[in-house]
Amino acid sequence: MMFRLVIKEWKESRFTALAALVVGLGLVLAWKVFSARPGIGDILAGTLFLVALPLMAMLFGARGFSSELQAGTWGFLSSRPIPRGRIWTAKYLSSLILVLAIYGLFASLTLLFPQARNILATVPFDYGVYGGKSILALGALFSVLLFHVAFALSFLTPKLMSIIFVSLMIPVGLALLLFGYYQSLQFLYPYLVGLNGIFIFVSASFAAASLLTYLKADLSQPKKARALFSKYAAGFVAGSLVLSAGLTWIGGSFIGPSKFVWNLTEHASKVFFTSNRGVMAYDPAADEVQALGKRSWRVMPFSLSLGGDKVVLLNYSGWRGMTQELWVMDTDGTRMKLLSSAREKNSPFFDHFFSGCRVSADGRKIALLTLPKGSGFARNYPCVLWWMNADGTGAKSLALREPLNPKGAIQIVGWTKSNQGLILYQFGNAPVRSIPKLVVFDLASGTGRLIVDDLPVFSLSAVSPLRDFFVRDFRDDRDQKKVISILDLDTFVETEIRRTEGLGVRRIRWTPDGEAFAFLDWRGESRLEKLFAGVYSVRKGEFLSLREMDEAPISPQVFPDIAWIEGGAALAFGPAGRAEPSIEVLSPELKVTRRFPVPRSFHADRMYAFLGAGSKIVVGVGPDKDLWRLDLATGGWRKIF
Amino acid sequence: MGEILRIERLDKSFGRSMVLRNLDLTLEQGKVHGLLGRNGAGKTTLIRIIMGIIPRDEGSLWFNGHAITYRDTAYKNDIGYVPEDPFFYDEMTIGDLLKLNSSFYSRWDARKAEECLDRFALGRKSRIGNCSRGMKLKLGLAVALASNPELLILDDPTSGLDIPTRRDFLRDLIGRLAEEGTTILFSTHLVHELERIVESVHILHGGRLAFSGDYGEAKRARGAADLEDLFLRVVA
Repeated sequence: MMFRLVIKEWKESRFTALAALVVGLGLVLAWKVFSARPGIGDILAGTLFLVALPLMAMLFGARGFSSELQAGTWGFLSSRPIPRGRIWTAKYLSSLILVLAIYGLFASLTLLFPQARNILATVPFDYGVYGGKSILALGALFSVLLFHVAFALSFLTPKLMSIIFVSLMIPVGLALLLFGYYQSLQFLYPYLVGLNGIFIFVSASFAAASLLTYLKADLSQPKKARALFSKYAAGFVAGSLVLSAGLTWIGGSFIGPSKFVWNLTEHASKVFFTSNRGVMAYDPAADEVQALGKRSWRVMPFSLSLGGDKVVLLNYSGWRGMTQELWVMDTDGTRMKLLSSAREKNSPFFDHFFSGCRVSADGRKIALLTLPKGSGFARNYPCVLWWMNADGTGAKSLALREPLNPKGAIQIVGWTKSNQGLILYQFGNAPVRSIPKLVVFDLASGTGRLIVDDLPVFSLSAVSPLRDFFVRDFRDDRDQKKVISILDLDTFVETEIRRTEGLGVRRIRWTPDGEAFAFLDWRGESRLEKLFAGVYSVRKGEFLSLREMDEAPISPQVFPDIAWIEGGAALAFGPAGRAEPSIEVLSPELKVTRRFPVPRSFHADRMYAFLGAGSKIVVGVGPDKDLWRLDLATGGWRKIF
Repeated sequence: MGEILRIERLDKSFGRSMVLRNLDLTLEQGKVHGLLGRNGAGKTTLIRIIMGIIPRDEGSLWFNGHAITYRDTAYKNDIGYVPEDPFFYDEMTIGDLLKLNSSFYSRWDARKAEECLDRFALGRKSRIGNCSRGMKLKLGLAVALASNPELLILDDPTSGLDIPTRRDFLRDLIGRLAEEGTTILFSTHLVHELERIVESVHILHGGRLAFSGDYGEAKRARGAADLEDLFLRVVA
């Protein structure tokens, strides 16, 4: 009986299936033709899996019962000795199987085209609720969700266009709801809960609501049927949210992530980072991750700073993290001290919003920016610069106005080597944008000195550990050549070290003593076509090495990283190698001395961090923000967080 | 003779309109029952409730002594149903529809189905969408008969039939089924059609059963000349 019902459904769906295949194959063909053009191939691949196939799934779902309602044949099935549940199941399974089969067919085509596999597998898609999913996985989830919504609606009205419209609106509304939910929940630290699995749970909710309504409702009275369905659907979807959040909070399995990792920094041969469990430090000597300070601390990006034997951080506490606390502790987690809180009425920081903190390289001075609450984001709002001793004494402040604080967009890069000044980065904010600049601010005189004008791209790693040098690249308008230069932050003398057609500096990595830096550069905007690496010795004033790397990156979209290890005696580079992704150990002359394959379960295409720590390398990978360490002595990998 | 179908205190409303109220009905086995009423009296609604196409609001239903709920479907194995508007899949052929139905009914008689097709001059390979209303009615009848039902429910089945077929249907087919002991519930507003074959009469009026009983006795008791006269006397 079921088999005949399923065959009947498939026969009725044959034209829809054919149309889906034709459209899909058309997009595949277009991708094959245009894949050489940068960007077009990605758009076509995305269009197929994120738009065309999910819409196809929605159409299959919409056909479910609407054709029966339109033709009046729902009464035929209802009058037969077939359990209503079986009718529903036959329609549901027959359509779902078709959807999955067609999706699977096109997904398997990526096996035939390695380029497609790279596009689909390595482009993470972070949309807030999930940590990131490949286009293939996301497209499958969209398809499943749209199918279930459309199928559930299909027996509430015979009008196909109405079903399509509502089927699109429900996921959009759900996405907005989830976004708002995610935005609010992330402030209920430390329980940052994602909602992974929500697509499946909501899909199941619509399926369950549809089945229950079909079993009980009078389809000859659409209004009553819709009311009943709405009741069931609302209940089940609400239950889905609770279930998904609850399971994620418990730390469930396949529905991560339940953790985040920010502020990864290498300092004194350890790797520090902030997470949902507070401030952590990986000690390569002990080969373990230690928790520092309070577990309840919530330290946002750019709110952790290390210098000397001190760790300075901003804890975002209170409702929605709107109250900040400035803390200092030793790098071993001892001698914690709350320097000030925006909540204390007798504190000069009372009712201020903290924005960024920096400790000096020797750990003796702290600087931070604050913003009086209520000043909003109006133009020319005053930003207050504070500086004090690391024990919180001797606090001074200065309200920064134009030109030092253009429209309220300023960031503290660090203290100067002498601890007498601060390096500030000014950047434009909407609605008015100013030309980004690098400024050295003298605390004694309260004046700033412009050292680099027009710095659109800035990375903190461009400044040496002792804050005595700043590396940048720029295009000289006179000859259109790419120039790499080093700026001495004490003498403000800028020295050109290379002038070429196109070689710049990215991924700048300084040795711990600031004597040299390594860098990577690559060609191609959306694809990594050529990769260069270089090591420049500031002390010697010359390049130790500069060459095009032999190993191809594992994917055109995955940008490798480079890090100093073993106290600056060697470099680690990776992931590299398409056939067998690995991490390489290089001499300062960039000669490969050792190679370590990465584990199979390692999401090498989702690398977000790469740091050296003594004789270990710490790599951050994957949508779940895992941290792995590679022991260079044994070649062993271990997940440390 | 036992009862094959019993309904007690049946209520059904559509929105604010109460279509059936506190309706009681009993069908004796082996008889030809006529279900009469004006247009919109609730005949089709009653039949749809019996067939489980729509749920009832209140009331109880027994078939062969077993209580039936909206979710029960096994009892439909023993009921053949010809709806007022045949609802078949236009894309299917007649042969496909018979094959589909054969998988639903445990007592499906393929030979009888073929006989019906021959009798009604229906081609197996004809697409249902290309059939006239009358052909679809005949097809519905073929499907209903091939399931060897104990109860045959006909909801105004003759309105689309041509005169020879209608005569053949009413006199010959129905009569033969009645002789075989099949209980028949024949709903129509064309009262005169039932005159020769009906044994029990049930008249719906105002959402209730205004009359239910043996036709012959009712005719004598009310002094009615014929079924039409009886109907008019009851609903007057």
